[in-house]
Amino acid sequence: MLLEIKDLTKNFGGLAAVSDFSMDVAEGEIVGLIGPNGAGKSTVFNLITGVLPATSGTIVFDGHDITKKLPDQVARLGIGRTFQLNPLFPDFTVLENVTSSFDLHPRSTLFDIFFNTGKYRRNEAFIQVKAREILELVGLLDEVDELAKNLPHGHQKMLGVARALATKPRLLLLDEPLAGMNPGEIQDSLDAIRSMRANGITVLIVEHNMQILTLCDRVVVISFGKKITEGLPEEVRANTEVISAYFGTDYVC
Amino acid sequence: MSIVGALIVILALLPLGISGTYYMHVLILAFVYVVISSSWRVVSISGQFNIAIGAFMGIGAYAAAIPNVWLGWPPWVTIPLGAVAAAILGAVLAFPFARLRTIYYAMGTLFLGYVIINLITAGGKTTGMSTGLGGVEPLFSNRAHYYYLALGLMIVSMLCLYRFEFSRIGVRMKAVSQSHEVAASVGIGERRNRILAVAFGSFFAGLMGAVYCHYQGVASPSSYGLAATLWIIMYVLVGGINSYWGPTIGVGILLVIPEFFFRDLRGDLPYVTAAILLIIAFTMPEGIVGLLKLLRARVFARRRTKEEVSVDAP
Amino acid sequence: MINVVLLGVVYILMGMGFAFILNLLGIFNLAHGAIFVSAAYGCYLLVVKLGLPGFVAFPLTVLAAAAFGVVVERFLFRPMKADFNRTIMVCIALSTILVTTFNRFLGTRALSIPPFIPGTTGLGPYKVDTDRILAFGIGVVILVAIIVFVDHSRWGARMQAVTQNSEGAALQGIRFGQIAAIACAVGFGLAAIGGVFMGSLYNLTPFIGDITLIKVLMLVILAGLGSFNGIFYVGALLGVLYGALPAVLNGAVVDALASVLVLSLLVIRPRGFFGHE
Repeated sequence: MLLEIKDLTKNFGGLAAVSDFSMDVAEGEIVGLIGPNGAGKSTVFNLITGVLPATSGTIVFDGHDITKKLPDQVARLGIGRTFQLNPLFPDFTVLENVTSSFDLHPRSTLFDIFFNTGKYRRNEAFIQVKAREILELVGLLDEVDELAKNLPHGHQKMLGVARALATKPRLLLLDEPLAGMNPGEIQDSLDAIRSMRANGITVLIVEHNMQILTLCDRVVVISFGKKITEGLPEEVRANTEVISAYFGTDYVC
Repeated sequence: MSIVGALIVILALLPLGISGTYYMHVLILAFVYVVISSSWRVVSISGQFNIAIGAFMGIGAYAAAIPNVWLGWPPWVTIPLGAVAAAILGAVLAFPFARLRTIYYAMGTLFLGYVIINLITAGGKTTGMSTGLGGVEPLFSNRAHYYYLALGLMIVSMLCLYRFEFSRIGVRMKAVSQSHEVAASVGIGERRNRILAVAFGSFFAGLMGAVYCHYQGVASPSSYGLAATLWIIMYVLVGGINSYWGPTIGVGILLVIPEFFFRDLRGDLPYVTAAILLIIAFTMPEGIVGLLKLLRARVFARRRTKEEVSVDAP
Repeated sequence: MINVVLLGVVYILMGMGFAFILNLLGIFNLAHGAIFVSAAYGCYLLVVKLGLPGFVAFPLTVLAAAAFGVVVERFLFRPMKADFNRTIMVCIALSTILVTTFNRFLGTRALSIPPFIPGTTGLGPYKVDTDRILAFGIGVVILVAIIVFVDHSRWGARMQAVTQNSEGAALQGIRFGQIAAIACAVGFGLAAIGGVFMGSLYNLTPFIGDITLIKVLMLVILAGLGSFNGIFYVGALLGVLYGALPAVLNGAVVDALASVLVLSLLVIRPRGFFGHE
């Protein structure tokens, strides 16, 4: 098990955003976490990455207890994530956004960087090559020198994914990757996520758009902070009746 | 790059040609402030508008002056000591402010600078209180030697600052400045890097503070207060906060030119400075360098349209 | 004793004025100290050089400051589009112009605005300058008026809305221009009141503006983001600190000690004690 979440609870004052939530992700899986708006999906992500402190429960990643760790510590352990609002580095170019995200691997020390050692120069050259590879994977190679804030929305999203990939994560948390995309972009994104798994990255996706089910090995359904059901995509889709009863028909695609 | 080289050569040969200790004195002051302003600017790259920089210049000065006057330590020991002391204290004191947003960071560091000067002024006989600490041992007897020391230190410091800004370290700083959340998600810690920036900047502020203190022979608190800090900030803002050469140009315009050519206007200098600030704020917020960039872009655009027209013409 | 209270009142006035501009406009008014000092110098000019009685000079100064605030907001602050660097440049310029001009006319030696009501009054076993009682009274009235305004009036409600959520407020039709003008008018006006008090009850030098501003900055930070009420409590504390300690300790040491104390409070609680965010 790469990721084990047990009885995770998060209270905001009197409101329970997440209650006794448990789920596992095995290495190499693509798992989908679906649920209506406000169900707590993004909160779960924030709890995993340490942006929010958990009220109770445990999160274990690759044998490490990361329940109380801070975001940059979690990143260093190998969890990458994208954000729903997808903040990028707006004043960096597309290329700079990705190269700056290569801070953890390969790692140059302050000494290396400041004195421009051979190791630093090799690392930087490697980073340049890898960054372009990633950008090609997500289809942004033509826009390397464009400022991030000038990109169209769908491309900004893919840039967010590219950035997350640069940290060479073992587990990638994708927060609503398909939101705001047109059908063409959606297909590109689905293909890109499949290639990621082929590259050895485990993916946990929070998504609203049911088209994600075509991609997932397993699906976990969450509502009002609690796990409703989980299983294979076909099972969950067959449960669509139940789901639409829970969430309303506009949730079914 | 070649312009810079030429300038350095000119500056190096200057003392042989120019007579007049006043001009040399002004240039020494200018070299000192180029370094401090540039290092302030490097701190600002991490998104920190630091209003305590003058006080760290002062820490460097006093950290050099006190051991020199009371313990007899020689200047070549006290000057590095001053720089290191400023860097360490800079790092320590940066800690409580390292997560504050721009405005609150500015307010907080303004108060910090005030506290530091206060503590120095309250230091009793050791610090000489508000009159300052005199009797600091001079490094050299010849002003020209100070000139070359300042020039040399400026060149070395500017190289270090260049390295800091244009390497991965600078990338981390700019990342933290744009979005600390995104930076954290990539493993770039906000607090860690902001403190590093302040420590680095304080090192050079302290270094030049110590050097200048040995040059003047005295360390007095009024030279390191809010006024000094505001001048440094002005040099950078007028020259161009977004450019490596901005602070240098700012020092040239606000310090060297008035002192060289407009000495009689000294009383009216504040008004001129205020006017310059207003002009920059209203028309070219990126400073003089910003203006130059704009002009260069316009010239290129015009040239390009000319070429397009001539190509299309039959 | 009353000095301590008065000092607290001055700090609260200054802090309140600064907070108005900070919370409503998002602007760090570095020139606030200059307004403080200029109002004091202005009042001095009116009273000493023009011979106006205090009761005329004081309101005149305050109104002039408020009007000046509206002008500054419209022509100096607003064009800067809330860009921090540009606003700072403007504030430095404004501050320099004001302070240099007054220095030109009045020199840099210490002055004092003559009391509005000379003489002393008996207050229990103590003899207190009548002027100080008057100042205290006026200060309290003004501050109470501010509380009433902020908490209980329509304008106050609008201002609170802007503080907490400027976009939402705009959607509700609260016009930014009016709020901005009021914020600066009140801000500058309060600074002026504080300045005149400081100038008549203590010494008036060109430096008191910045020094008071720096102390007040800490007041505002400790009070907390977006808070107006917190300024009362923290201001009172600071007044006690900076007013009472000199009686016990040497002047410079007081400043140092109080400053370190304030700094420690900031370290313990960087978000301030009464803010909301």
